[in-house]
Amino acid sequence: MGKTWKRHLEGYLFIGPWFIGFLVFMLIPAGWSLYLAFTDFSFLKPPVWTGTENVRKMLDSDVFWKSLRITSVYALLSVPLHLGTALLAAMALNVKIRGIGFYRTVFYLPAFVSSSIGVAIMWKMIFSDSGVVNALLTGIGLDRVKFFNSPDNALYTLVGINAWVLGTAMLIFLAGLQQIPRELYESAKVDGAGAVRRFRSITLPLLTPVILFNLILGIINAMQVFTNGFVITRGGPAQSTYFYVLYLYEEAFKFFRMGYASLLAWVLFLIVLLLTLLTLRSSSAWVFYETEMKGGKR
Amino acid sequence: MRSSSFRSAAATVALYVVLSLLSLLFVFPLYWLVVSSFKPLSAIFRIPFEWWPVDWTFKHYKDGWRFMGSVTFARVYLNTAYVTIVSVVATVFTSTLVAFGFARLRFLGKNVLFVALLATMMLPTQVTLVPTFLIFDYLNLIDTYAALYIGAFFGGGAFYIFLIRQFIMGLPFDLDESARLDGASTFRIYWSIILPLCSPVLITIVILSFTWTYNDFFTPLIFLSSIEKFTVPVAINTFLDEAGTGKVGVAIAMTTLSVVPLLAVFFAAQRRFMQGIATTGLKG
Repeated sequence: MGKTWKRHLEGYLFIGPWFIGFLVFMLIPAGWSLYLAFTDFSFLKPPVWTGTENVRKMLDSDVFWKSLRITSVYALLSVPLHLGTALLAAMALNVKIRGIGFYRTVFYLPAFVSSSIGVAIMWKMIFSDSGVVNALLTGIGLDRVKFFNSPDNALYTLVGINAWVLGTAMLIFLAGLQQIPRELYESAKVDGAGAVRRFRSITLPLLTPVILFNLILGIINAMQVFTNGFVITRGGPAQSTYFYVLYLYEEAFKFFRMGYASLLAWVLFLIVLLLTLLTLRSSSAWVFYETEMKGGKR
Repeated sequence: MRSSSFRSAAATVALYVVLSLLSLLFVFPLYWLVVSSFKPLSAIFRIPFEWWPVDWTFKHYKDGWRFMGSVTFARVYLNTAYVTIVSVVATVFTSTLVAFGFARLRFLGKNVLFVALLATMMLPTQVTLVPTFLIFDYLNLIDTYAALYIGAFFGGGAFYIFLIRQFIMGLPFDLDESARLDGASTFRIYWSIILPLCSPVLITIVILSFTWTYNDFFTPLIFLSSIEKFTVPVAINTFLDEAGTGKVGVAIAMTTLSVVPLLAVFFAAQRRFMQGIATTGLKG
């Protein structure tokens, strides 16, 4: 009796650091912000319960819908582009030739430095109206493009530069590709399957679990996009890159509408959760697990 | 036979060409950053592009390093080093403790708690942001370094714990059993047996938590207000705030400088680190 009690206690002591942090910095704040979501709270005065007032305000707000639409367009474009380029890069690097390690390192490098805001500043200048990309474009006789300075282009430019950081997804794809048995390709070749056929019938199906993993990570990251919109475009021009989290940040820390901002945070969580669940749900239709191939043996 | 080997040689050459061209695309922005930091302001945005600086200048570095008032970039780097080192050490210690608990010990409610741990990975930081600000305010942590590293003392993040736990699960149980028969305490098993075997996954954790803390922009943006406490990302951000075009060169120079520690860590550990990242996707 005394011994089992001691065993449980020991377990709690080991996980204690996490558990205290979980309570103090996760569970209590999450519950608290759920409460704040239904209050008027400006940090200076105590929160005042306003019921569904914030919800009504949110649904009536043009900016809310606008930022949600901008973020969704961003996710819808950047996730497929990101995963597509990462997969292509992984396939190009999945060969045994001399020096391939060098290329893998170079392809991965941007992902490693990309979370630095210095890199966001770098993009701002490279794609500025008189930046190097425009210098190169005019050099080959093309017109200049207002990459960030035009409401029509800014969002797409942000989508484009996000493809530069494909490294993490690429490495995960590469590991997935290396798990596919070579014999499958050999025998398909003997049966006369061409490169496209081999890709569609072997590579793609066997890679679907990894695609699912990258897809979910990609959706979560894209819906929470912040730094590039904040540093490069400050949400503009004409609010064309006013991402959801940027909106949330300004509501909370610029206008100090913290109750309303808490509601926005919870809505974001619910949207991300819903998207993740839908993706997982859909996965039974398109994700192929190897156990199925072995006749469901387990 | 000969034509097929000729064809495969041609394909290999083509592959090298394609990979090299793509590599240029990946490296060019960083190349631009470095060369521009040594050009006079008038040459940075010159058309056509100067591939190599015609007139070299170190002015941007000198001006940028002075930073603001009595606060120089030396101070900014010291701040960053302090916060980063505390974070990484605390993360390694607490995340392994917790991971060991989840991987090796049996206690009531373990599975429920582990699911809770995984669920926190889904919760966007924005949800806890406002109350965390209030809690930090109550604990007098606003505008302190502690606001930036306190999380590291509480496991450092669910993802790190999860990674290490998966790794420990793969170590043979006999190790613990025989040590326990020899009378070793649980802490001793953790410290002297399991932890030394964790070094491959710990390299990944050290690098991930280093880059995360070093690059963290959002946390100091919200919790720091005194310039003398600024870390590198928020310090660089001020060049953009006050900027105007006059400070462009300074922003480029300080950005270049800020990437150097990242590159140093990357090249020191890239081989093992890239293996670590690659396997995360397959266990999930």
